[in-house]
Amino acid sequence: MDTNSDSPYDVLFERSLALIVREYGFDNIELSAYHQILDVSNTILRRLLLNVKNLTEVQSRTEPCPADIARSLQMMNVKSSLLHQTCNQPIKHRLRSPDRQTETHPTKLFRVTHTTNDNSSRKHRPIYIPDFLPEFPDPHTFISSETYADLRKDYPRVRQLLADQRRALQRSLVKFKLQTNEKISVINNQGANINDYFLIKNTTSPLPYLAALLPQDQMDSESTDAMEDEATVDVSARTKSLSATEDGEI
Amino acid sequence: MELEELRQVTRSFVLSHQTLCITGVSFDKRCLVGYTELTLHPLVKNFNVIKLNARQLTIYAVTINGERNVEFSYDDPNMQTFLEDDPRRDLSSVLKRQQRFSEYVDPDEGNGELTIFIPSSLQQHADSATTNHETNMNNTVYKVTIDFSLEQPETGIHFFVPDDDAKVSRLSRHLFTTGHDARLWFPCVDSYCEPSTWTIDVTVEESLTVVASGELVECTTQNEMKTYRFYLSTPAPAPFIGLAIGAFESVVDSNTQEITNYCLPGLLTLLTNTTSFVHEPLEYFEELLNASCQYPNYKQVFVTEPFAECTPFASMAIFNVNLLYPSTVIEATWHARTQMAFALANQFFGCFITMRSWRDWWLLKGLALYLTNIYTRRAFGNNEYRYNLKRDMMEVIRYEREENPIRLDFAPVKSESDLSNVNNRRGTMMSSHYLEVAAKKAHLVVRMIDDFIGREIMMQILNKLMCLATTACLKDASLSSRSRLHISSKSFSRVVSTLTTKDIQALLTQWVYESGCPRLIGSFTFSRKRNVVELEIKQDTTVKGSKKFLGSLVIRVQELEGSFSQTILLEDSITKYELTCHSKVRRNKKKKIPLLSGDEVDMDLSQMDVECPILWIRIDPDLKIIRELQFDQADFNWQYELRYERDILSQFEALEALKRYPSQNTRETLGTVLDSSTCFYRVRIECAHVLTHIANSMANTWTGTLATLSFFRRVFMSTNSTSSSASTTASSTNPSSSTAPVTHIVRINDFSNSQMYMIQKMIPQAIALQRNKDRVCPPEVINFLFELIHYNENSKNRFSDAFYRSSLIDALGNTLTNVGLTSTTTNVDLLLNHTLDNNTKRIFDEILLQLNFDKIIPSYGFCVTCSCLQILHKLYVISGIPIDINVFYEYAMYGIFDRVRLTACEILVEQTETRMNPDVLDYILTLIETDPDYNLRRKILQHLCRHPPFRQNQTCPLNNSSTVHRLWSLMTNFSYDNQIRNDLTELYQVMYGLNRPACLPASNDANESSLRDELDDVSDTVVDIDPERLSHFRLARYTDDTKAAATKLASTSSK
Repeated sequence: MDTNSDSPYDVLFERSLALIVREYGFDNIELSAYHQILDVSNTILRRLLLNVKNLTEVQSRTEPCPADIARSLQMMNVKSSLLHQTCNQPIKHRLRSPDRQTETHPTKLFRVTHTTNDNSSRKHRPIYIPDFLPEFPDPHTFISSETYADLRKDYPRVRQLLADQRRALQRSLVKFKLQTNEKISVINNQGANINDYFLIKNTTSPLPYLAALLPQDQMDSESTDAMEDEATVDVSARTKSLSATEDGEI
Repeated sequence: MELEELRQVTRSFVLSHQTLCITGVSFDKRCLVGYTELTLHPLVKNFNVIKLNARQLTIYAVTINGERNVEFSYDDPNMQTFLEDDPRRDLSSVLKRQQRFSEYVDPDEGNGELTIFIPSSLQQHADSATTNHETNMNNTVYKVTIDFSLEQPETGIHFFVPDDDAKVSRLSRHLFTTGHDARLWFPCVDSYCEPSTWTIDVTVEESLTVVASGELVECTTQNEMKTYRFYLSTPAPAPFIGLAIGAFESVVDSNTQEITNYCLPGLLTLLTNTTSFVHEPLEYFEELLNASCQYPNYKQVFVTEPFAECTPFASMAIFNVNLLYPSTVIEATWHARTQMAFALANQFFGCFITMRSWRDWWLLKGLALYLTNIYTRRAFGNNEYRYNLKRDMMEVIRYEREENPIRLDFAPVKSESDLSNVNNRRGTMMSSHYLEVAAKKAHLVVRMIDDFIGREIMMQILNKLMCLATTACLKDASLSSRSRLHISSKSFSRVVSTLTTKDIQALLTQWVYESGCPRLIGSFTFSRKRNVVELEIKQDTTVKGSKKFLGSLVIRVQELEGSFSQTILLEDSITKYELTCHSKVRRNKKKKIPLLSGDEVDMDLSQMDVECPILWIRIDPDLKIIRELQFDQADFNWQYELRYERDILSQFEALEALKRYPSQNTRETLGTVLDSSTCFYRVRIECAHVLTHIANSMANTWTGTLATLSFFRRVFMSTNSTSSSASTTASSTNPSSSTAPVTHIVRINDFSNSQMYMIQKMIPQAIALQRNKDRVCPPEVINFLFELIHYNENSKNRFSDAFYRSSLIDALGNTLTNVGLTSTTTNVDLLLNHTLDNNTKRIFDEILLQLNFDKIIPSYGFCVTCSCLQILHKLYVISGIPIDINVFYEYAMYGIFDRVRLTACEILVEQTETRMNPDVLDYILTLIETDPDYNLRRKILQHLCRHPPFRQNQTCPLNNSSTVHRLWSLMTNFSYDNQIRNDLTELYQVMYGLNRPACLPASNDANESSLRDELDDVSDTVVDIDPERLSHFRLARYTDDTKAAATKLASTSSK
């Protein structure tokens, strides 16, 4: 019974009408007849709403109130008693709530590429805007442009960026620590003036095993909970994979 | 009379039950106070003296059967083994003295340090009732109560007390027993063959947990003090009583309720992960032996700074905390599990069934290791098992060749033999390195017995021993039945000969009662006319530690028609055999060749001699005897063997042999094996190393890239020109083709296949060893390694890449060469900026970066730091970068993680070996003398023994009298810690030999000999004294005599 249409309003309208038709006992309806009813009801509704709009305007209001609807129904010769009757009838069928619209987002990008379509960076103002108003800002500040980068083609670049970033982070972290902490020279410089090679001075800990056995270098990868769940599976898999090429004789 | 059976040892009483009650523990003062009560049954008529073992204790009072303040004497002759003022400074007299003294306090001789004189009111008089004295003697029970305290112990019990006041530090304070020297922490009969039941009461602060041998039967709280009562119903000898006190966190094994694990605060997740498997070996051993573990429960405690990685006790075991690992670390699993399985095996053979004396040490050690290995074989696979077996055998052989031949049967209690031979010393006088290798040999010997009598019968025998021992644990079992709880070599071979018809005596004579192992040299020729293989086997008896082997040997010949085994008998130094060949020579017939494993394979036989149907020959393929083997066959034989033989031992042999045959064919064979995914990963790694070796020896004619490098690129790296990946490692995103030139980027890490992980980790190290014809590492390889480090990406990996990173750093270190380093400039600036080549400088920078970064974000066990330190040392030694020695001091401080400290200390030791720096030696000796971590002291000392600054009679600036005196005073200081003193003795022997050090001025000969005679006289009388009471006074006289003699000598020499 459903016809394909784009706007959710249309879909919902068609469905509710079909439901009303079924409520009145029809199991089947010819498509042309259904479209006829659809048109008729559409017209009636439009008429009704136009009337309501007119009434509100007459009373110099912007929002309709229930009385407006009642009055316009009266104007269209619809008897309110009939409406009451319809309302009192038990409802057999109910309308499903409409499907959630899934919006198709373009793939999220990790970088912005410059927009390609315009040559001039600024849009000129239309003539109806008075002169004293300021110029438009740069288009990238208010126009969203969808860009795509082929990740797969760029795999080496991505890896390089990532590695460079990581290395830069390491270096700057070490540099920072070297500046803020005590340091010792690695080179036995015997008076020569060499200041390039330093180590961060060790801090002794009363329980050195804690830092060593609970390393922090794995923390960013995954939550530890998930890892613990898999731990038992891992272990057996690991043992299995190690004895996989078992071919020595027993 | 059943008690009579127990009189194999000369003790005059039997111990039935001992109560150990520790009433106070103070961590601040590092002391504990308590009393012990021994229930003794006398065996002799004139029972008037009780001798017990006790060292470094303070004895307050002795009470017997309620009679207080019984007379006792307490002296420890071992304190006088090394005399600070002995002017002779020679080991031979010291060793002799040590031997006599240890006999003098040997509990199996009925001796001890603590002598208690039974008051005459309590003595039974033989004349009182001659008729019923037997019954009388049986009924008499002496309850001996001894009040004692232990203060600031050097060994026996280790107190770990962090010196700051943070909450977690206070919580982490703990103490534990360090080894099997029970006399060092409570008065007892410190013998392995005096099992008794135990009650252990320990009162501690409420916040602390006590773990001790036995079952926790009661736990009461009173005035914020908690009293734990343990009862051990299974008789155990005193050395196997363990104790650990601390604010432990605990977890009960989820599969077996009887197993509980304890660790220090903060490590619970690691504990759960590490111990999750422990029920497996327990169930496996019980099934294997068809007997259940006789202890009601089993506890594992993980502590810091223990003296050994794993110390098993009755119903518990103490481990090093470093064995704990998170689930993200792969490497730690094997070692940790092996250690825990070993401790469990000891709950059957080792702690439950014990050795009768030190002479039987090998049997129990061997049996425990044997069980452990059966388990690890099941858990880690046959290949891993065989690999370990081979590695152990190699180590045993190396030790026997280069250091000391090992005789597993330690010297008998009363030996008057020459002590210059290590094998004539007592078990308690052996150095730890000797014991370590001897344990491996013991395992190999037990495995030989297993081979000889068959696995099933072996298990029946072990089951029989277990059953016998179990009956001794029953409640109504008699005291004499407790002798079933200890076994000796003799009783074991008796059980074997009663259960089987076989006699293992010959085997024991060959491998246990004598030292050495054979060296076999084999070769063969094929006689076409008669269709036989003429095999010749020679035994080389000229090398050190070698020994002629007489017995059967398995030969396995792989022919075209299949594999055939034959057993030959070795009878002489040179033996020739003719083995009939089963195959006819075929020409141009394509037929599959059947292998031993049952597979049939196609081989390309073009390499082969067409006249000869022999593909390869193997001697003793299953390591049935401990032997060094050198077998000659042509290079294609080895190539076939490597490629088609399925046994990894054979592949390793072939790899070792192929190093000698650099050729194109070898190169191809190695490439194929490296590539084959069905091969064991260790073989493939070794293959990569051999390939590098071959490439280096063919450097002048070598063309193309190393197969290892292209293999690595193909399997672990992604290119953006071709998407090559039939590999086993899954990659996350495969690059599609593009126009850019071929770049190789290592894939993001995925270590879920551990075999591939191991290969990925180890192969760069092999590649890094490559050298081009200028004898330097090709720049291509160095760039490759730097790219691996640069592109290493672990964020999507479930496992830690710490060991992978440290392995890459090791690989960087492997590239270093000293070729082209001609300048010996002392100008540091000039060196660093101009002379040094670019790559070395790059490596230096990288090492510093990683070392610093590892300090900010530590890797597991600081493994990256350890690797970096080693490379820094290499940069110093090989590339001549003047690294400041203070850097290594910095990492050797107390308060740094112990593995890092050990690495730093080992580097320092090697510094003294090569540079002979007196300051460094002084620093190391100070560490050995004063470091709070006793485990580290031992490890450094052992390393120093292997890398001494000089050996006997070598000239060295350090070979002077002050070093002698320094070492001597060190030995004098360690009067309680036997093991460290034995290691020091070993070091002293390595450096100066047994006699007076050559660097000291010669002393007056006449005086010396007279002094020695005098000493010998006295000590001879000490050995066989019978009336115990007299012996005490004689000892006193003896020590006085020694002193007198020493002063006499000193006065004459000063004149």
